[in-house]
Amino acid sequence: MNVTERAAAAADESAWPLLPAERTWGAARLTLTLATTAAATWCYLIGESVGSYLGFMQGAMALTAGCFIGMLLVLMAAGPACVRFGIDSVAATKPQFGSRGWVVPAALQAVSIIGWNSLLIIFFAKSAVQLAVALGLLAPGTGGATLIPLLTLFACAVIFTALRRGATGVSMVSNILFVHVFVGMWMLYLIVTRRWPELIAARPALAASQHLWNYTTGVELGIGTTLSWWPYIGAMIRMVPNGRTAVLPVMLGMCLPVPLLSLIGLAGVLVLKTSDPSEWLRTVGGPTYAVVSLAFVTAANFGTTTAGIYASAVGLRNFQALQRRSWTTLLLLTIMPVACVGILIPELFFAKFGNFLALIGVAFAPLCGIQITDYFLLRRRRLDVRALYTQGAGQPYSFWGGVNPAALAALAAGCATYVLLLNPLNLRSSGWYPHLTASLPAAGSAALVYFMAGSLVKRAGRGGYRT
Amino acid sequence: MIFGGFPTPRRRPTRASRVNEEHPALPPELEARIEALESSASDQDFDALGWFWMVLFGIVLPAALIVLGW
Repeated sequence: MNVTERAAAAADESAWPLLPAERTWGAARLTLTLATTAAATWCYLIGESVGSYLGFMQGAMALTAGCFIGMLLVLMAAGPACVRFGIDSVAATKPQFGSRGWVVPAALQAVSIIGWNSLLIIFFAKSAVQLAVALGLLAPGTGGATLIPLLTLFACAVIFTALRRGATGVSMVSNILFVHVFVGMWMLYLIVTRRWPELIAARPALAASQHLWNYTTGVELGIGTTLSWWPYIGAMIRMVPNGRTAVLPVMLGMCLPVPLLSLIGLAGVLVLKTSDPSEWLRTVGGPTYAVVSLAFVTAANFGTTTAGIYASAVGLRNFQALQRRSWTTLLLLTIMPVACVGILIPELFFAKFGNFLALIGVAFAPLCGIQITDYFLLRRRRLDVRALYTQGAGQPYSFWGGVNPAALAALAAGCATYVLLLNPLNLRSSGWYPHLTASLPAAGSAALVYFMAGSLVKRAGRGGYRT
Repeated sequence: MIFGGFPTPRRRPTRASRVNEEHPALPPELEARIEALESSASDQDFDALGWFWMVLFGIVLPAALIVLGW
């Protein structure tokens, strides 16, 4: 590795801006990485949720539409700053939340990514145990309690080793695991071709009496799913040289695999009453198909976790105390919580933490509304890259004590709007939810509050706004 | 030289050094990066084609799918 390559490698392990010459990924490489990141076990769970309220065709349409809407919001929110300056999602929030207030979105990112990665790594370990049983390497019902923590540790060690190479490690893992996306398509093809009449005739088990509510919930689940890509997207798209190169990989590579693979869960729950393909593939094609499916699940979660750990480690770099720490230290700080959860409390976490993650996910719609309003309306696409890295009184993004109260007020307003319209834990809704969804009004109300409060901040001469 | 190609901040008054009168000192590597980005000609987020794809996939396609699915 020559000096320039070493410099580029070091750059993608920092939260500092990447220079155009260092953003060496093309559209194909970004597409591959994003697709591998997006495809994971959660797709079945999303499909299962949609299949509880909608039939196959309607569910597919509503979910796909929602995914694309959510992806557009995320791209418009985090994308501009990330592709212009080669920074990650957390650094892109400094103009809105302030030179100290950015810790709020950073905390959201850390909890969301670490939480989801813990779930995925436990899924990975469970699938690997099931795979060993299916291959006859392990007797059914034996060794799981011991093997799951060991496999979690093994997965964390492999991810750590891969990510010692920074973003190159993410890309390398994606290159190896990308094939699993096609395996997912093959599974979808199987169930659709073999069970088509049943699939079309199947009725969702929990459908509400109001059809509009069911349909809106399908769209909402899609929007919420892709909004949760906000923490991941910046660390990936900053590796390409410009916005044009990022758009199609994000809209197709990151967004499209989610609804497509979710159809596996959607079809499974409608026809065979289970969204887990390793269960229904055994019914459809025998034990060989079940083995293929388990291998798919194992690979899928591994790829997503690798990208998540990378994005989270880059996000941590924004903390001044961690800027000078080695990349190895940051990786350990990010992986350790995941490993501890997987080793010490896998079952408890599996049972309880999903609810907490659902609540955390509520914040991403308002966050997008705030960023879009700030960048396009209040700042009119002007950002001060230097101010992203300076702190202290009088700095452009210091606002008041480093915190922009307008952003916090808007975030609170957006979250409140969401919860008032739809309880994310039990999907109980109220008011205009069937007509509006919950994410879009949450983003809209946060945008409105931010625009009004941000205009006052601008008038007060804070925040580095140009008048 | 830092990072095998980035010049260290020069002594002559640049925009960066003028701005530094108002901003606290940054690490030299970061300073060099920011200076390079500030002087970069490319300062665009998405171009017209990028917006076209975003509108197509983020608005037109979802609207069509929602109507078709309903």
